Amino acid sequence: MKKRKAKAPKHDLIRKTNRFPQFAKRATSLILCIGIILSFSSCWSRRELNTLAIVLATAFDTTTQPEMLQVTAQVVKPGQIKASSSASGGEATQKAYTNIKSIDKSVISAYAKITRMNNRTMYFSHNRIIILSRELAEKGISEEVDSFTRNNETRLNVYLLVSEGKASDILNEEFDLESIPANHIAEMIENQKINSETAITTLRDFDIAMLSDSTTPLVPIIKIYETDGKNDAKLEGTAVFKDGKMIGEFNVSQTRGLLWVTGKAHQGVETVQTDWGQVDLRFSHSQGSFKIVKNEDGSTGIRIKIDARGCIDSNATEEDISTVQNLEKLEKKAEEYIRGDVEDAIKQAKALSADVFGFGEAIRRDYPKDWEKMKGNWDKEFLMLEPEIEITVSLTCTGGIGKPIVPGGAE
Amino acid sequence: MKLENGHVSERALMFSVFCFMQGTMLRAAFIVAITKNDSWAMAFTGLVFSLLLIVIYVALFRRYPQKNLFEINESIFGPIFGKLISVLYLFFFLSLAALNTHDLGDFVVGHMMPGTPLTAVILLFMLVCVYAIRKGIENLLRLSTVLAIIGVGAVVINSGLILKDVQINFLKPLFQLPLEKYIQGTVTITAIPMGEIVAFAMIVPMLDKNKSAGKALAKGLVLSAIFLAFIMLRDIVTLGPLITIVGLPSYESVRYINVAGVLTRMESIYAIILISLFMFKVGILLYASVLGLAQLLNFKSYPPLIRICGASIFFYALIVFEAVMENVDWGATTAPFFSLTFEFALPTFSLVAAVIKKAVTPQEAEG
Amino acid sequence: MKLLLCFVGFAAIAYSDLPGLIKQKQRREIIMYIMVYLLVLGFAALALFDFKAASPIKMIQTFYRDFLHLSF
Repeated sequence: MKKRKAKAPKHDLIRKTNRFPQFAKRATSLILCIGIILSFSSCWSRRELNTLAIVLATAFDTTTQPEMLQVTAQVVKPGQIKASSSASGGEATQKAYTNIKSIDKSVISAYAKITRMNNRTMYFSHNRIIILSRELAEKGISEEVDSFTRNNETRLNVYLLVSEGKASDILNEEFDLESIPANHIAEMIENQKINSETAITTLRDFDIAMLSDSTTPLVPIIKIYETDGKNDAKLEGTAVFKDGKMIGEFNVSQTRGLLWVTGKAHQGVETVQTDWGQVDLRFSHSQGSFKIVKNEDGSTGIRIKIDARGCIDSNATEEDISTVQNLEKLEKKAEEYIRGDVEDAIKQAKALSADVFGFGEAIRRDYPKDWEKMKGNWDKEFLMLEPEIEITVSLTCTGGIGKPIVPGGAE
Repeated sequence: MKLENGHVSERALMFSVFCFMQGTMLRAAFIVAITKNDSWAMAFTGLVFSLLLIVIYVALFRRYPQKNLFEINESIFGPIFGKLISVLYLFFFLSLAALNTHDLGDFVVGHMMPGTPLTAVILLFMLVCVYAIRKGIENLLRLSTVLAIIGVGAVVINSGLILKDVQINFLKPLFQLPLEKYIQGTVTITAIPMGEIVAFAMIVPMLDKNKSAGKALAKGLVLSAIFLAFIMLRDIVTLGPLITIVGLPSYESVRYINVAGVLTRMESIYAIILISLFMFKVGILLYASVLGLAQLLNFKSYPPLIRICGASIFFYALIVFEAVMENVDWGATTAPFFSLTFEFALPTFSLVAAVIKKAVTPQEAEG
Repeated sequence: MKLLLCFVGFAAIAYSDLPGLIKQKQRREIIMYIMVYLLVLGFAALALFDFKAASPIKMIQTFYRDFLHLSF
C-alpha cells in the first residue's frame, strides 16, 4: 500500500517538468550499459581464435641427445576439415591438421620454443590424447605428468597412450574415417569398452594411481602395423608403470584378465574351442570385483568374483548348442577361458612385481591397520598373495536362432 | 536514530545465510587439506559448534531487540569502550571483505583470465558491490532466494553429470586420521565458513519484531552444512587422493565432466555461480562495515559512506597477500583463530558483560 | 597512469558524496567524512606505491602466531 501511494505523485511530476533530466538519465544508463558490456567481455585477456593453435594431441619422444625431449603437437586447421573429408576419393588434398615439432629440455620449454617458430600460441584445452613413446616411458614420465596436471588449460580427462616406436609417427598416420588422427585415436579409445581388451586410462586415473603407495598405473599401448602397404594404428596390450617408469607390459589376453579382476570388463567377445568346434560368445553386463577377506590365521586374502553374462554369438559347429546340457558345457568352457586369462594376468603381475589390480589400495581402505603393517614390504607381500577366483558364467540367450544351420537341422 | 529502515523476511534471511556460505564452500580447499577424505563429516561437526555460536548471538539479540551489533556493544560497554570494541569488529568485517575479494580476484586471474591484472578484476567487482548496496540492502537480501536456488541447481546438475566417473571407494578408509586432525577440521569449519554469520548481526534488526532471528540463522546454517557435505562428497569421490593436491577441488571435478562429448566445459557455469555468490557475500560484508562505520561516527544516514568504504576494501584487498601460498598458509594456520576471536570470544565476552550488567543494575529497564 | 586513475576515482567519489552532505548542512558529518576520506586516501597511497610491508593481515598473522602462539 505504501509503495502505491509513493508512485502516484511521481507520475504527475514527470508530466509536468521538462523532459531533459529523464533523457539525461536514460542516456547515462545506456552509456553505462555499453561500458559494462564492453568491459565484461574481458577484453584484457582476450584471445582471438585466429591467434590460437588448437592442440588436439600431443606426443613425446626421446631424441638422440639424452637430455632432450621431442614434443609434437597436432594442431587443427579448422578451415581444412570440410575440404579433406569430402575429397576422400583420391586427389591429394590439404590435411586438416599439422604436426608441429620442437626439441628442448623439458615439456614447458619445448612448448615455449614453439612460439618462436609459430605465429600462434598453443591452446591446450582441446587436447584429447597424450602419446608417449616407449623409450621415454622407460626412462620416466613424471615430468610430463606433472606439467600437464599443473597447467590450468589442460584437463584431467585426456587419454594416455604409450606407443611402440616413435610417438610422432602415430600422429602422422592418415586414417580413412577421420580427417584428423587425434579424433580418430581418441574415439578409438572410447570405443574400446565394447571389447574390454584395453585398459582406458585418463590423466586423472594415472595421477590417482601414481599417488598411491601400492597401485601401479596402466596405459594402453598403441602400435602401427601394416596391411597391404597401408599403415594403421592398433591398440594392443597395456604398459605397466612403476615410479613413473614403464617396467613391463601385459598382452591382450592378460589385459582381459586384468579388466575382469578390476571390474572394468563389461562387454566382450570370447572365442571358445569346444570338442565339436568353435563357438563365439558375447558377454554383456558382466561384472567383476574383488574383496579383501580375512583368513582364519589373521592374514588377508583376496577373493575375486566374476559374474559373466552372455549370449552365443556364432556357432561354427554342427552341434545344437541351444540344449541345456550343451549350454552348461559351454559355460564350463567359458569359465576355463576366463580363469586362464585371470590367472595369466596375476602371474604376469607377479612377474613384474606390480600391483596393477589395486589390491594394496583395497587393503588400505578396508583394513587400514593391517595396511600399516604391510606397507613397508608390499612388494613381497604381493608376491605371496594367492587370490581365490570364483567365476560364474551364465549364457542366457542364443541370439536370433536356436538350432544350427546344417542339413537336417530343421527337424 | 535508526540508520536502517528496511525490512527483511525470515525466509530471505535464511537464504541469505545460505548464499553467504555457498561461496566459501565452493573454494573448500582449506578444509580438504586437513581432513582429506573425511572432510564431509566435518561439515556436520562444524554445524554443531556453529549452532552453539548462534545460541550466543540469539541471547544477545534477545536482550537488546532491534539493535544491531554495534549498538549492542555501546549499550553494554558504554559509549567509549563500546566504540573501541566496535572498531575491532569493523576491522574484522573489513578484513573479511578484503580477503574474500582477493580470493575471488585470485580465482579469476589464476584460472580464467591469466593476463588480466588483479586490480582491474577487483575494481569491477567492487563497483558492482557498491552499486548493489547503494540500491539498498533489502534488494540484495531478496535476491538471495533466487541466487541460492540457482547455485544449488547448478551444483546438483554438475554432480549428476559427473556421476558416471565417480568411484565410491575413495571415501574409504573412514575416520582413520588422528583425532587432532578432526578437531582442527571442526574448528576451521566453524570459524571460516560458518562463524562468519556474525556479519548478520548487523542485518538481524531488519527482521520484524515478532520473528525469530535464531530460527532463520539456524535453518540457514543447517542447509549450508548439508550442502557443504554434498559438495565435499562429490569432490572426494571424483578426485580421490588428488583432492589434497589440486588447488580448487570443485573446479577440477567439474572440469572432468564429459557426457557424450557434448556436455563438456561446465566450469564456465561454475565460475559464473562462484562470482555471483562472492558478490553477494562481499556485498553483505560491505554493508556491515558501512553500517558499523556510520554507527561509530554517529552519522544520521549511511549512504555517503558506501563509496569510500568500497574504496578502502578495494585497496585493502590489493595489499592483503602477495602470493597464493601465503593465502593457503594463512587459511590453514592462523585464520581460524583470528575469526574465532570475533565470532566467539568477543560475543561471549559481551554476553557475560551484559549478564553481569543486568545483575548489577536491576533497577534499569532492559535495553 | 595509475596515479591519474586513482586521483580521478577519488575525485569522483568526493564529487558524488560531498554535495549531498553539504546541502543537508550536516557539519559534523562532513568533517567526519573528510577524515575518513583522507584516511582511505593515505591507505591508497600506501597500496599504490607498493608499500607492501603494511598489510594488516601479515601483522595479524605475526601477532597470532608469534605473540599468542595460537596457530595450528
